[in-house]
Amino acid sequence: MNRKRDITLQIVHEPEGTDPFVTSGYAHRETMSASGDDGGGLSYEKFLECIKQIVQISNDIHDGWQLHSKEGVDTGGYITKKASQELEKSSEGAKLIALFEYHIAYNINYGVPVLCFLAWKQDGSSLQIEEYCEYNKKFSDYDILSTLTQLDHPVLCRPFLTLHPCRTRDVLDTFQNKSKNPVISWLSVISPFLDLRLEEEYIKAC
Amino acid sequence: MANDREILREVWEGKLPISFQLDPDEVVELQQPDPFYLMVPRLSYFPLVTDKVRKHFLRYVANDKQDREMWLEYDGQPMKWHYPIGVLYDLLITSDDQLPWNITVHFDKFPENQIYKFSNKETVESYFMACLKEADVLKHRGQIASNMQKKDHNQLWLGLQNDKFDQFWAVNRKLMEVSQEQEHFKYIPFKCYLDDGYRQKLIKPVDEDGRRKTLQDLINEMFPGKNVVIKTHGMIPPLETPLQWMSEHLSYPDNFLHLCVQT
Repeated sequence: MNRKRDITLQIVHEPEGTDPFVTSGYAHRETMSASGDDGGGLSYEKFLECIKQIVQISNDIHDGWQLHSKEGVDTGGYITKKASQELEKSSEGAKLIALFEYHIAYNINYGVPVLCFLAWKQDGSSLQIEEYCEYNKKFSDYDILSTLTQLDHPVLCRPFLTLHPCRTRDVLDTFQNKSKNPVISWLSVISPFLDLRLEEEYIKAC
Repeated sequence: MANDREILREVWEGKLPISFQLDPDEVVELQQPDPFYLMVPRLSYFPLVTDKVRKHFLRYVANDKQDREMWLEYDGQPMKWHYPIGVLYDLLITSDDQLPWNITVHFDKFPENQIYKFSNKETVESYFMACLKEADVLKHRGQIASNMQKKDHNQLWLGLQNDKFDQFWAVNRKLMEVSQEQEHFKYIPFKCYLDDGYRQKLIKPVDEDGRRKTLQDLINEMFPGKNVVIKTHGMIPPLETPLQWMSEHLSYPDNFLHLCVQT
C-alpha cells in the first residue's frame, strides 16, 4: 500500500527580488467582455439591449420570445422561445414533429451570443444530436461534432445542443458598426442552419 | 511558462479509489453482483474510465436494458460526468474518511437534459476539445489552439485518455506559453463551482498597476465581502498564490482552473 504523499505547495520567488511582471504603460478598465479591449465581438451591455429589442418585436407580433435573467450572474440575461418543427429525413422522406426550446444567451469567454436548444419528440423523449443531424442536411457537410455539440448553457450550466461559438466573432465582425442590432444580424446568418424562422419584422430592426 | 514540473507531475498523478455498485432495483439475477473497485485519475472523466464497469454489471441487468446508456449516481443525484473526476470529488465529498468513494451505477431512466449523453469516446473528446479551445480564447485569443495541427490535438487527447504525462505536456506546454512582452495570459480560465453550477468572470492575472493578482484577488472580485474557502485538486491553496502561476500549474487538462467554493 502506497503512503499517501503530502503535497506541500511552496511559492518560489525570483531570487533577484524583482517583479517579473512589467508594469503596464497604460491603465484600462476591466470590461465585461473578452472582446472589449480589442474591438471585436459584442459587449454584454449591447447584447442585453439587443435581446430586449427582440422581445419587444416578438411581443408586437406574438412570436413567443421571452426574457429571463438569473440572479447573481453578471451576464445572466437570456431569451427563450418554444416552437414546433416538422423535420424530414432527406434519404427516405421520413417525417418527424419535434418541439424545440431555443435559448439565446451570452458566452462571456468568447464575448459573443450563443444559440442553444433542447428538442423533444412527440413521445416526450429527447431528440438526440445524432437523430437531429439525420434530419438536418445542413450539418452533413461539416465536421459535425465541432459545429453542433453538447455544451453547457452559459447561464443555466446544463447541457444544451449548441452551435459552437468559436466562429461567431467572425460573423459579428462582418457587420460591426453597420448593424443596429447585431444579435438579429447574427441570427439571420445562422437561423437557416437550425430551421429557425425569422420574421421580416426582425430583419427591419438590424 | 509551466516550469514547476514536480507540481505538474504530482497533480497529474492524483488518483481516487472508487467502489461502483449496481442499483439493487436493476438487478435481475438472484445474486447481487460484487462491487467493482477502480483507482481512477483525478484529471480524467468518468466516461473514459468506466468501460470495464459497464461490462462487469451488464450481465446482471434485464435483457431489454443491454443497450441502455449507463449513468452514475451519488447521494441520490445524477453525477455531472462532464466535470473532471477530481472536481466531482472535491464538490461532493467533504472528508477523506468516506473512501472508497461509493458510486451507484444505473442503466435505466437516463436523466435526459440533466447530464451529458456521452455515447462514445468521440463525444467526450469533442467536449474536451471545446473546453480547451475556450480556455485558449481567454489566454491567447485562441491563437495557439487554432494554429495547432490536428496531430497536436490528437496527442493532447491521447495523452489524457491513456494517462501519459509526457505525451500530454509535450503539446500542452505551448498552451501555457506567455509572450515576451506581457509575461502573462490575457484572462485566467477558471470556473468557480457553487451549489447550483458554476460562475465565470473575466479576470486578468495582473492589476492596473502591473502587480500580479492572487487567489485572494479572484475571491474579492467573484465574492466581494465574503469569506470563502477555495479547494482544488483536493487541497486549499494559500490565498497569496499568484493567479498566473495557478493557471499554469494547477489547471486541469482542459486548461481551466476548477475551483470549488466552500462558504
